[in-house]
Amino acid sequence: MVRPIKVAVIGGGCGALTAAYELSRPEHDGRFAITVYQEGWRLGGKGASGRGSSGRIEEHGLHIWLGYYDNAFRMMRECYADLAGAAGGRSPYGHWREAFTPEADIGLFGLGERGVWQRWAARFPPAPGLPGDPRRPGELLSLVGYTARTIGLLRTLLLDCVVESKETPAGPEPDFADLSTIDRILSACRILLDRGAFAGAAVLVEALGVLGAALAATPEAFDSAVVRLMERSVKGLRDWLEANTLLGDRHQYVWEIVDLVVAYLAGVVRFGLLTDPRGLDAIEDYDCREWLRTNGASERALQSPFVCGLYDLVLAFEGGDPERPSLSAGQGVRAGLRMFFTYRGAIFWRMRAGMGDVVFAPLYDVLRRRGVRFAFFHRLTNVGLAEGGEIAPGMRSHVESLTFDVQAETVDGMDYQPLLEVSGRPCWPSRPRYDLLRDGERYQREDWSFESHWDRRRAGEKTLKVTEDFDFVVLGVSIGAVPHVCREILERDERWRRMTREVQTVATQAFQIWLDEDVDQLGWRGPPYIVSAFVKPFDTWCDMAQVVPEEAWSRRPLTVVYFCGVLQDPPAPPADDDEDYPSRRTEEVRRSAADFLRGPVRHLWPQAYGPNGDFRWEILASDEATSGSARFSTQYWRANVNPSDRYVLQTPGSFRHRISPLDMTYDNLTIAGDWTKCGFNTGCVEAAVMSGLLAAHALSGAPPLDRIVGFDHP
Amino acid sequence: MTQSERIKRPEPERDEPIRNPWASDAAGPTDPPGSEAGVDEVIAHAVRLGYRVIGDNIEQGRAAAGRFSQGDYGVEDVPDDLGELAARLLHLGREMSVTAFDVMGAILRDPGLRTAFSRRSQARAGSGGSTGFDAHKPAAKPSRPGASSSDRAKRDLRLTYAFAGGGRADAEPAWLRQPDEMAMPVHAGLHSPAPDAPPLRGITFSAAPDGLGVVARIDIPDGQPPGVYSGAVCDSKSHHVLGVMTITVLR
Repeated sequence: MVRPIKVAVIGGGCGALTAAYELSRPEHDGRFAITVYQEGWRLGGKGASGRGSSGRIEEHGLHIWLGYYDNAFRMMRECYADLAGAAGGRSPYGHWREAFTPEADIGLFGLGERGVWQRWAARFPPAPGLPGDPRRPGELLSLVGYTARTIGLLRTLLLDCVVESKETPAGPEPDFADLSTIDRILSACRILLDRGAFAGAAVLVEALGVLGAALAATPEAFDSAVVRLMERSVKGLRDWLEANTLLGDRHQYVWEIVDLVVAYLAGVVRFGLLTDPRGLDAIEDYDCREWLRTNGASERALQSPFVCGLYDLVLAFEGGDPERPSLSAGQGVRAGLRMFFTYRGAIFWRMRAGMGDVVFAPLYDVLRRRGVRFAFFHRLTNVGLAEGGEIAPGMRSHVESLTFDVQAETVDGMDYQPLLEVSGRPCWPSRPRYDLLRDGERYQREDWSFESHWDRRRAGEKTLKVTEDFDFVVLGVSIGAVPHVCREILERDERWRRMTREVQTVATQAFQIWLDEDVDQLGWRGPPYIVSAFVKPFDTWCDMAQVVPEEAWSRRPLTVVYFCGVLQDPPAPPADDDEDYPSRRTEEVRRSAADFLRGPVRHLWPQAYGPNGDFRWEILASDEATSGSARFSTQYWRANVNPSDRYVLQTPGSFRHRISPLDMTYDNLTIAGDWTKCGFNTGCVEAAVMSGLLAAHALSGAPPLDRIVGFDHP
Repeated sequence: MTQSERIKRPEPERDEPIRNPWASDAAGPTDPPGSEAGVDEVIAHAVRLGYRVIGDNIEQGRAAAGRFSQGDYGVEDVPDDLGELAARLLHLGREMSVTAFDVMGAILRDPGLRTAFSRRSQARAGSGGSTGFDAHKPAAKPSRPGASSSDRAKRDLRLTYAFAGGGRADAEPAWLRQPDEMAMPVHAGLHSPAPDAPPLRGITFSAAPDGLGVVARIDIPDGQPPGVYSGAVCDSKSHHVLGVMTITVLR
């Protein structure tokens, strides 16, 4: 009998669990015997959540799924269907459509000229299909297709703005039917330049695509002339719009987006992206703003809520410093194109409850049913390699051993049962289930922090040996933890040293407040937006009223609102023995959050303040009897400073230092996580899932690479 | 399999995504999400028309590349007495092409050249050669050792260099093998044996002005350490090596 291949999956985030999900598919017929090793008591990585007092959901931050997360949605839809089938249609998790709800609105903030925060809102119409539906081969757009869609977006934006033109349309219609020579194309553009209506301007922008054709079809000697003309055309459009549309702040925002779209179009043709075999990687060495600036975007547009929101939503600030925004242009554009033009159903999808409850509990359940084992309270401390020296590019090695701190052991050596039931659904608790742990009472009394990088207390140590205990390894810890758990690899492999140096991460912070008044009562006007580009440090927030019914309050609040943003690093990183570091940063977040409520939130919810201008702390919901500002102490906040909790950035040029899950340097190891070279190099669920699919492919050959949606993509 | 046998991962077919900008359906999904509803039809028509120029260019280039790689013909096969048509070809090349493949696309669309090629192809057919201009043959045979440069020119693409940037460099022309399938040349930069010398990555390919080969345009940054730099040119589809670029960065 052929023995199964033993796979050690290290970590329980989206990437690692996707690999486990794929390798445990029934189609493999038990070929892989999988064990997931997880520090602490819960799965989820940066997406982990827990249930605290009153069954309330406590998240790492704000998690919204986007409508183009095809790989992630496909897995979750299968997962929910599996569970429904196993439970005869009575799964406690319900149907995936109950777990994810569509959201069409987004709001952005910008500081108006009079120092007043102005709100800009967009509603994205429903798109055919649902995320995770099978895609036809070649259905994702080419760059040419995306560019045409971009112009469509531009047109929609322009139509969204009422323009009172001071000019009358002039000149004949350009003859689009005859674009056989450069002269004719340029002539058409000049005619368009002279026109004074918005519709004419839109035609001009589209004619820039024709100019792009001319640029692509022109030998080098003509390049500079065409580029100059195009730049003049863009500037002409910009000047015209400036003169005709600045009728108010709302128009200003439309103009800013038009400006950015025109800059994007100019960049596509100037950088030859329509024919470059590197696709958008060709501009990965640029920062997004820098690239748009290079292509003529105005400074005002570059500081617009749209661009600020882009950076805020992906937490793109080196070291958490608001003065150091950094987002590579190629991936920024790629993510933007996917977000706006390939979503299905809705552009955003909210989760019914915590990400732990909606994603990781059902995943855990399915994996358990498939025979996957889980070893909780196992913290990796070293990946041991075969003997040898420096591992140069092209050389090979393999993993000999895996060493873990065993943080705690269960009573009688039984498997740890991690889930609790809240409101009839399996959920992850915010604290370990101490009653299941040997010495659990002591751990609780002494407040062991099983998820803290700085709390190294442990019950024992365990070393796994290759062939005896494992054959393959899926390293699914986040890159922030890699230097701490892969010291041996880093000592010997320059590529890994460079990756951990160049692929940066950022600490984040978040707080949640439960409210006895809804946001309408507090003075918010409009739908419950996902709002970004607001005041630092909590520049992004969302009304999450939909999760409250899933909680277990004795007196249910009307809503809960999540705030999040980056958290600036100290000048020097904390020492490994600085045990108080997490609590100091957490206290810092508490103070910032309370100050945020006292200050900037006034712009959002004017009715949250009393006649004397103070925040009305009594609107904070609590099952505890507290009053005044002390009531804030009953809410929830956290500092995500653990190395593995840090959000992964995509800074210019860093893509070439990422390593693919398909890399063969270690012939029994693959990697998973949104920090890998997974084809979509951004910190998000979809990237992590793609990396997990690649990791599974690396070990088993399945799924085929062309089944990973968006892997082969410009 | 024994208990002590160590298992290795299977070799992956590749470890990089295919980034070709035209790799996806150029027409896009038939039911595109989102933005379609509000787009004015007249403008949409203009946009489609404009992008069709690009799409045509690329498609013609790809088709030409495919036929070119089948070995049915080479640019040097143009008969000498077609001087006027050759001049037109060069004109087309200057106006329309960025790659040698696009030049071939232009050839294919020119009725005069098509006629000339057809005549030559019929002659070939009579002597056991190709059965016709549009006929597809199996992939080109591999190069024979000791083949003359004339023989080689009939199968391979001549690679020349153009340098830009603050630095100076020199190089001898080289040859690129025709790709097995229609594909574009790609590279991973030019590398120096000196460990501290950064690789040269600013490289683009375009058609030679005479339409008879490929020019690699290489940016030599000011301050680039002098020495020999080399790197492979692969085809974007199979990643097979088509040839090697070698240049010398001068002091």
